[in-house]
Parts: sequence; C-alpha cells; structure tokens
Amino acid sequence: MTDPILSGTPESWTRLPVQTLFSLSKPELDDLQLHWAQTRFQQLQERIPALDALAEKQGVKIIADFETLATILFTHQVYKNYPFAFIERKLFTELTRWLNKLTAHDLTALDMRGVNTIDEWLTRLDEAGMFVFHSTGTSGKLSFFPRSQTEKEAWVEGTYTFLEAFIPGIRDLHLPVFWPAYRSGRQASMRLITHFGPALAGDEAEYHSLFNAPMSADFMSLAMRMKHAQEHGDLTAMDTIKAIFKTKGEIVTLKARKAGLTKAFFDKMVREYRGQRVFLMASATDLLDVAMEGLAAGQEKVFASDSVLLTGGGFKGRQTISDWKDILKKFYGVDQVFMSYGMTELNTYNIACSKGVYHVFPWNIPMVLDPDGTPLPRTGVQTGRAGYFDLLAQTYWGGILTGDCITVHYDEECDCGWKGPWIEDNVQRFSELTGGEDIISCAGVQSAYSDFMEYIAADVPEGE
Amino acid sequence: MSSLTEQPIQIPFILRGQEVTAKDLLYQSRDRKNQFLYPDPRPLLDRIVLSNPVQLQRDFASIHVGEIIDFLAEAGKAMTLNHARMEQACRFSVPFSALPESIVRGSYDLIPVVFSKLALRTMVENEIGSKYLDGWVEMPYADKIARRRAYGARTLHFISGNVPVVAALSIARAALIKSDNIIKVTPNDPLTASAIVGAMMDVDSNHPVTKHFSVVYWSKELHDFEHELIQPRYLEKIISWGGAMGGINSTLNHGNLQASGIDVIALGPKFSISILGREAFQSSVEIEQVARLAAKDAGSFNMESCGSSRFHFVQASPDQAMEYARRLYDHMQHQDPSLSAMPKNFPADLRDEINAARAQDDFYYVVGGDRNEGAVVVSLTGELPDFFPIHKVVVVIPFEDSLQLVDRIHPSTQTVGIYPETLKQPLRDLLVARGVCRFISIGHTVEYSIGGPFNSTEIMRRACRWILDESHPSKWELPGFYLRKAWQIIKHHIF
Repeated sequence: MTDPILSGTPESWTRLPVQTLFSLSKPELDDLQLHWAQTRFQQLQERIPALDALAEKQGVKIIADFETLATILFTHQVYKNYPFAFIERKLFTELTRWLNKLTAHDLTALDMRGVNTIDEWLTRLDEAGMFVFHSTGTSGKLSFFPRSQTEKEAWVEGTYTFLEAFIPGIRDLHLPVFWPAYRSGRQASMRLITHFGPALAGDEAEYHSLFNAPMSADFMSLAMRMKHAQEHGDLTAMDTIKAIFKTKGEIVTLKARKAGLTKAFFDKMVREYRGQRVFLMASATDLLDVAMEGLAAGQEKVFASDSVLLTGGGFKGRQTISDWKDILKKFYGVDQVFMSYGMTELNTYNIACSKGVYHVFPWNIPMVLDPDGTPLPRTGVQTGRAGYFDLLAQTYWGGILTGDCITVHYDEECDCGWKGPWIEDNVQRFSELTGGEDIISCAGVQSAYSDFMEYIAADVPEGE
Repeated sequence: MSSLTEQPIQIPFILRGQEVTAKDLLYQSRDRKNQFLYPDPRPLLDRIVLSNPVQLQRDFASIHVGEIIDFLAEAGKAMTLNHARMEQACRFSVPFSALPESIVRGSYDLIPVVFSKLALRTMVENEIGSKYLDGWVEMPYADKIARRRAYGARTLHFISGNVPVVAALSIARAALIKSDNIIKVTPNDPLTASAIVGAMMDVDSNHPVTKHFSVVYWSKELHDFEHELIQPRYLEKIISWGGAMGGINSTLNHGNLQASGIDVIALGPKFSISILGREAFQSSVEIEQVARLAAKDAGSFNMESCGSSRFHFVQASPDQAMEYARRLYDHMQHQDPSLSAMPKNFPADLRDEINAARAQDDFYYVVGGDRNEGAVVVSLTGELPDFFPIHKVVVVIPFEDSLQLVDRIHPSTQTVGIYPETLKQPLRDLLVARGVCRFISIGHTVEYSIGGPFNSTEIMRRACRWILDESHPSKWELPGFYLRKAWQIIKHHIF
C-alpha cells in the first residue's frame, strides 16, 4: 500500500510542495488516508485509554472504512471534562492523571510536587516532552490538547508548507513580523507565534508583539473562575481573585497600558516599516479596527503590496462588513488577504486557494456527519457537522468531531487546479445555528479576554 | 422546513373575548423545523392593552371571588381533552414542546384539575384570603381605622412553555385576583394559553374575567412594539418566568424597567436536587427503595420542569454510589408515561459530554446513555461536572460531610428532596441561606402544594396591588370610635 507520490509517513508529506500534495486522485487519496488511519489506530488504541474505551463501546476493532472511522472521533468535551476543582484546588497530580488517559505518553511517573499554577504545570509537561495546547476557555474552562514533541516537527513543517503556498521561499526568507497580541504562550495561536514569530522574523528584534509578556494560562483560567464566581454571586471568591491579580503587577497594568501600547505599536509599524514587505497576522476584527482608524486618519497603503496579511477566525459576535477585505487591502496596501481556517485540534490550517475555498491537506481527512453523528457519504456535496482525522497525530488520537457546520465538495475539482476535497467558505458554528453548543474557538478570544481585563482594571490605579 | 404545500399552523390571538387570526407574520425556529403564523400585534396594540384603568375596577366592582371560581370551574369543564379546542391545542403543541407526546397529553390532563373548584378555592384562600379581594379588611390600630384591600393590576405575563401547566396556573391565579392580563406565549408552548382562555370564552365571552385577558405572541425583533407596550401607562406589573427581563423573553433592559415603576416579578430559572444521607445506602434493599423514590423526582416531566431533581448528592462510597446509579437508571427507564418517557430531541452536545465522561473511567461512571434514553453519571471525584443535566440525565455526586455540602449549593436551587427526614432539620436553615425555596420528602416533587409559595414568592399576593385606606375620627365620631376599638381589642385579646 504505497503511493508513488506520497510514499513515506504522513509526517514526511509536510515537506512536499502544495502542488504535489494536491495532485492525488480521489481513489488514490482515499486508499492512502484509510491505510494511515488504520495504522494510527493500531498504533494507538492500546496506548490511549480514552480511545480504547470509545473503540470498545463502538465495537471498533479495525478501521475498514471511513464510516467506521467516523464513529470513533473525540468531541471537544473529551479535552476539557476534568473536574474544574482540580484547578481551583491545585490538584495537578489529578489533572495529570486525567490527561494521561488522552496521550500515548506515560505521564504517571511525572512528579507534580511544587506545581501551583497551570503555567507551571504546562512548563513541567513541556520539560517532560509534551507540547500541550490549551484553548482560550471561552466556554468557561480551558481545554488541554495533549500534543507532544513527537508532533512538533510535522506541525512546524506543515505550517511552513501552508505559508509557502502564498509566500514562495518562506523557509529561507525573513520578514518583519507584526502580531498585535501577547508575545508568546501555549494557547494554539500563541504556540504558533511563539515559534514562527522569531523564526519568520529571523531574530527577536524583528518580531514585534503588542505586549512583551506571555499569555498566561492561569490568567485565562482565572478569568473563567471570575465568571463562575459572578454567576454564583460569590463575592468572597471574586475578592480573592482580584487580590491575586493585584499581586501580579505586570499583568494587571497591561490593560491600563493597552490603549497606549496599541497606538505605539501601530504607529511604529506605519512609521518605521512603511513601504516594506512585512508579515502581519491577526484576527480579522483586530486588523479591521486598526484599518478603519487608520483610514479615518488619512493613512493608506502602509506596506509593500507583496506583504503577507494572514487572518481567519471570522467576526464572531460582530456584524460582518461585506467589503472588509477591500478595507484591509486599502489600508495595509496588500494585494491579497490570505485566509485560513483551522482549529486547535488540527496541526495545520486548511488552506484557502485562489478561488477562495478551503483545501484540506492530505494528512487531514475531512468527514461530514449529520447532527445525530451518522456519517454522510464521502461523495458529491455534503453539508453537516465537521469531523477530521489528523494523520500527523502520533501520540494522541487524531480523530475529532467539531462543532462546525461545513459543506464539503468531494468529487468536483476546484477551478484552482488543486485536487482533493474542498470546503466552502461558509463555515458556521452549530451553536450559532441551533444554540447551546460550544467549540474550541480562536475567534472572540481577545475580546473575552479584554472584557475581563476591563473588570479587573476597574480597581487598578491607572499606571503609566 | 415544511414544503410549500404544507402551511404552518396559525396561532390565534385572543383579545378580550375575541379571537383574532391572521397570517401576517411567521415564527421560525432556528433549525426551521417549527414554524407558525400569527397576527401582526402592532396594529392591534389598542385592543391588546387596557387603556382605561378605571375599566378594571368597574368590571369587577360587584363580582366576588366565589363567582369567579364558579365561572372558572364551569370553564374548566370545557378544558378536558374531550373538547375539540383543547384536543387540537394539545395535538398542535406536540411538535413545539420539548416534551414527548405522552407527557404533553398528561400535562393537558392536569389543566382541568387546576380549574376545579377545590383547587381554585385552595389557591386563593391559602395565598391571599378572598375577603381581601372582595372588600376592605380592617387592621387593629388603636388610633385610627386602617383598612386594606387587594386589587388586581394590569399585568403582562411572560409565561414559560416548558410545561403546559404553567399557562393554566398563570391564568387561574390572574383570574382569581381580578387582574387585567396580557399573556405573551412562547414558541415552545404557543397554544395552551389561548385554548384555556378560549374555553372561558366559550362559556361566556362577555364575562369580566374573559374580557380581561389578551393572549398574544410577538417576536423579540419587534422592539418598537415591545417598547410601546411596556409602559407604565398600560402596565403595573410584569410576571416574568424564566428569569428577569432580558434573557430569553424580551430585549428590555431591566434597569430601565425598574425606573419606570413597573413591578417585575421574576420567577426562575431554577433547578432541583436531592440530598441522600448515609442511611440511604446501608443495604441494597435501602438503596433500591431510595432509588425508586428519587427516580420519580428526577424523571418527572423528562426534567423539563424546575422541580425535576438533576443533581443527587449521595453520602456514599463509590461502590454504593455506582449501585445507586444503576438502580436509579433502571427506575427512570420504567416510569408513568404521562410524566416520564423517551426523551425527545436529545441534544448532541449532552451526548458528547456523556461519551467524554465514559472515556475517563477513573473520574466518571456512566450508566446508560447509548440510545439517547437518558443516563446516570456518577462523578467519582465528588466534583460537579461542567454540563447541565437535562433530558433524563442525572448527575450523582458523592459527598462526605453534609454541612460542607451546603456550601456547594447553587443559588438557583429550588427544591431539595432530603432523605432521611431527620436530615432536613439540621440542613434546612443553611440551605435556605443558599437560596433553596422548597423542601420535600423524596419522591414527591410533582405534588406541589397548590397555593403555597413558589420560588420563595407568594405570587398571587405579589401580583396584587395592596391598597391602604386610613381614616382618623373627627371629634364627634370619637365616642363611637373608642367603643368600636374597645370591642376590637376585646375580640382580639380575650376571645
């Protein structure tokens, strides 16, 4: 079961150019993906207790077809159903025991003594060879996604391949990088920028972030605890949480300084890098806010036209402005706005082609299920709940069932010339369609975070 | 989505004894599975509201509560499912309700019971006392004559639609206190209220009670209409189920509303729990008996009701808790179909939570849940899970110390079933401090005492306007006044 084009392991495919990756016919791709899904299942079933439990419940012993694969996908709840009290009461050994059910690595021997914060816990896991991504916790709790160093190289290379599609030669190229948020962290996009910020810029000096501080997982979690305390009318807990913030000098004054920093950040960008080719990555809402303000101040065409402006995440909670891409082009001066659609659970983004639809890399298997969880046929055009299998996952289970509603075209070839399945540019959250459901999301994060900062900052003397 | 040939049903408005139907506007659920047509309320505003407040007192001036009870009871006879109006409302309600058909029908069977003379009399006498509604009642002051009386108010009701009996209770209470009422129905029960008021109309469409009910629906998007309607010149009270304004019922700002002087009576949302002490787990026989009773509290109305017990705190070892969970599950799967049946539209995210819990067997023990039939999830760590249990999913949480448990009770807790009875006494005041509104012996949550306080509120008392009339005697009236007071004092203190 080998293919002349993609003959190695899925990890090795990440170094191939997109033209090669999107050159397989449907039967070739199906055979290859199914073979690797079955291989992953064999490798991991006995090593990941949560997978074993699910496979046993579903009666799955072998993955003979994609329908079977679709019955053993993990939902987002799997990555966050630890009791919240583990965090509140600093039971990090227990939290590790919970995480251990989701990874093929053995974490039982890890000593969590002396660990008092989520950041410390994640640091210790990092030291032990894990590479855990946490979510933004918009649902009220952080998810922990048990990636490890084993996946890191494929994650980096796959992302480079994704970038290469619109910046040829990116692996050897250095551009000033602008990122209007925290400098580093362990949330999905923060992991990405922590690595790619300095890597793309060539050195730390050309990687420009809005804040110099890392994003703290504890801070995110505290935000959620605060929300929890508010809902419970628990004033004592709220006071305690506020007190914790006040002891963290730097982070507390961030909010107070944010307006000034934001202005300085964009001023510097416009003043010192005008006309240059840069790499700018941010949420569409953040980019748009700055662009509108800039245009109003009479600024436009700030950067060289071949600059890279990468965005995604949609306009969650805000009205979509129909010509937003044109506004961005006008202000930033770029020829194109590059779009991505991804999620914490997938190592790489889906890539938007010249026709504006999303192509799925061959190491990701897209599936569409009906709301009851029954897989729909992998032919024609299908709309429903999105499932994926990420073949780059070697130490955790790559099968996920998202809360996204997607439309996949399986047979019809995209006019852009790339082969393989593609997803229409109309991804919606099921929660928006039917209410109630929650997903790991990167959109809306910053605003949730800011709202909380606002609350905290209310009691903080305005510094600087 | 229904096809072009299949017309959505029409929801009638009832405006003060007259039925209005029109296909002006379309309601559509987000998944587009449910829809109905209804009249545009905007041109009907004058007929929906009672513009002249004097009309209310005039109409009820000579009508006693006893006569209202007779009228309601007569109408109540027309509220059984043998009558076409109710039968049709019940049948059409089924697709809109989160309840399975057998429970919708079971709930409709409760409506005539609410409108029985005994229930109506109990309601009004337990909660207010009809003498306060029929006349002035003097209070024993030494230096003056002070009398009070309960008047009906112009009231807007945002009723909830989770169980049809809410419509029945809201209408019965409102009629008994001689209020003027605008009832806004919700899309999960768009028909019951108009069927009940329709039955009253069939008995006498000119009866003052009938004349003081409007049953309407409008979409949240009709901001202008809502703001036009909710004004102190039209309303004195708002009874809002499912929480204060804002959330699910309306776009109105609660703060503005308070400033307007309209009294908002917010009911819920609430949920209920069970606390089972050590005694429940002494033997399998005991566990079985307690599980059978607790299952009734958990399964009733498929957990659509605020009285349904969702979290069961058990003073038990993990093994005992697991045995309890298995037995509880079994009982919940074999219950009176008019109260508990196979869940309808079991939510995908709850199923995902249950499956996720199953994957972490050191932390959770899951019974059932494979067929969307409900489940029992034991949290082996004793911590609360994130998900909110609905559709016959119960969460069992072991605990050790009942006094420490009290600290974890959520302020939205309504009913607590306690076993054994002796555990009630030490916990009661502490639980009240945490927000609990009602205590029961396990197995009896559906047997709500009619006319009793609800969600720590005596709704009928609060829905009335309580008026005080004070007279100070003039010089010549003094002798007579003192005689009268002396008699009052003797009556009060000696007899």
